[in-house]
Amino acid sequence: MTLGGYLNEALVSLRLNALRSTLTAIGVIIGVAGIIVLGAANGGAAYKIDEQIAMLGSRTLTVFSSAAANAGVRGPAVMLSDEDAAVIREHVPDIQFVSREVDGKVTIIARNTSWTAEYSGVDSSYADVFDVRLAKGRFFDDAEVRHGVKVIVLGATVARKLFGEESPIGKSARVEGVPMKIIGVRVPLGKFGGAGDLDNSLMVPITLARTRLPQFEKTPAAHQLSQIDVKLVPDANREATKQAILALMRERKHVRDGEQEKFEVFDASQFVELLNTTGSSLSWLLGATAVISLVVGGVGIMNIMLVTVTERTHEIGLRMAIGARKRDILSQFLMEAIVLCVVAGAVGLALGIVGGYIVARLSGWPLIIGPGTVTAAVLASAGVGIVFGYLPARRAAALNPIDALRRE
Amino acid sequence: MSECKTSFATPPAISCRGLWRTYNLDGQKLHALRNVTFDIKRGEFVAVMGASGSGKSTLANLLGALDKSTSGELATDGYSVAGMSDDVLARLRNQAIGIVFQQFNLLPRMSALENVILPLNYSLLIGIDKEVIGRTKLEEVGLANRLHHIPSQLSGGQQQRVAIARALVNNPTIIIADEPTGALDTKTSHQIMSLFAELHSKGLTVILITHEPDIAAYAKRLLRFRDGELIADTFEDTSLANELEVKP
Repeated sequence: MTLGGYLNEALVSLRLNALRSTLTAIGVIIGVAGIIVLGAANGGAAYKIDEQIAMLGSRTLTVFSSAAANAGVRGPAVMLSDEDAAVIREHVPDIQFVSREVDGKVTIIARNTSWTAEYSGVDSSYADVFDVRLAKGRFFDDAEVRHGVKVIVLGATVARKLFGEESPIGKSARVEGVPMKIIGVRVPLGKFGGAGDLDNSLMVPITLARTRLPQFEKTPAAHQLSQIDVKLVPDANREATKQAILALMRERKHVRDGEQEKFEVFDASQFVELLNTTGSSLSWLLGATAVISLVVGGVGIMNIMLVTVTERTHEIGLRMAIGARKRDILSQFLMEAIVLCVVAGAVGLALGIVGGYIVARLSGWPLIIGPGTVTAAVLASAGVGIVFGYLPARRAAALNPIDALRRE
Repeated sequence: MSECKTSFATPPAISCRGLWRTYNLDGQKLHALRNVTFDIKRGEFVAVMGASGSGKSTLANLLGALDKSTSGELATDGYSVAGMSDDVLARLRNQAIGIVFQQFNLLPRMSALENVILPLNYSLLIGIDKEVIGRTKLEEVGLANRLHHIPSQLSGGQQQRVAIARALVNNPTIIIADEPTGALDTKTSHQIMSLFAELHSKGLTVILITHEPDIAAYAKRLLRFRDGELIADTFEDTSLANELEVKP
């Protein structure tokens, strides 16, 4: 018989037992839906990772003195300096932009509202290093940094807390009592893990910060830095550049071989990827549930196919009596199991898309269901049909025509 | 197979030589057929008669290639059935033999036409219009206006006609009918038998299994069975009588 013939007979047979077929298919439906939701969750998570990397800066490395070195454990505190930033810019290959940075916490007052936020005192190139996007206004330029002009760029949270819906551009705010002009507001970045609200921040020229604002470091020397922010050229080797910076810093600070590192280089992309590996345990759980459901569903399919074969023994005998070969009978029942599973797979696919949409909405991800996920779902359901339909089909094919025909 | 040689130029439609069919029931051997030997020429109309348990249905199953003999030789159109693989046996049932059952054995969810063309689905033929063939066969058995009825919408006689059309759909040379009128009333039985007589007149070999003498009377030759043994082989057409003899 032709493939179409088997297909047609399978559909007719399944329609005749519509309720039974539906109940049997539920396991496979849930299994396939699980695979789709899993795929959507993974796709959404991957998107989230990209988004977080973009938030922390792609192609961005941050150099800072390690905690122990900073605290002066085993020897005096070792700090980064303006000179280190210049040398890195000068000597490490594949670097596009470098910004010095000093950090601290300040109180900012505007319109009778007081608010506490972290500030970054930076060069104008900071905007390039972190691809700073502004909702309003502009970032400060080189001249403003050189002259320590009292201008600030607000993070989205600070702007909202102090000015509400009003535009803060051109307005004045007192930062640690110093009146400063607001020239820009950043696009919201969102919250990021332990780092808290990335938008509760403001940016000022580094020169201004050094002269007028308190820094985290207790008694910073005039040329000291909290960190150095580095932007790599596109397609740069992140790891190689990281090692080059570390080697350069070891040399500059006379760190001997085997001695503890005084500096660290933070790679945001690596960090985000590492952070998100923990999320995959949930994926594993969901994946395992989907697989178990498929197996249980498959056993259900096998069971119902065995019942079908028993019920239709007489029909099998008749078909053999008029010329069906064993392989014809095998194909017929195998096809029936496969069709049942593939139809279940299609229903599962639809349910999975709905489920994936719900998961995406709850997590704030976009709904991403790739062709790979759909292919996996279809192959999984057909696979279940073949694997669990084979035994009943073989049992049908192995029947002796006369014995089968005698059975009513 | 030297003893299989006959006086005919072509091999007989059916040739049985020392056929035994033994069932093993709880360690007890039950001989359904005992040393049965006969030939059926092409184009013959043979009735196989006997009481229930005489072995006539067992014989029908063997002739229909549904079952295999325990020992002895059975050849269909000169080909020994014993050595045939399952696939070749299926092909034999599909192409060379048309079988008709007492209970019609139509598939209940299929229309008359679908039932008739079912064997074509197993024929490995391509480029044939199955529906046209099916219609033609249903017209031949007088059911041109019942193509799309399902079996439950048809009378017993009509159902048996569908079954006969199905048996004919691959143009077999041999028709085996196992109690074809057993489930029909007398009037319908005779209509069905007229159909078999017509098939015989067209040159088909018809083997009719029955226990009713008036049904067997349609045949031109009678094989009588008792307790698995062939006890009599009589020809209505006496011109054939001296061609074959039966060793009791």
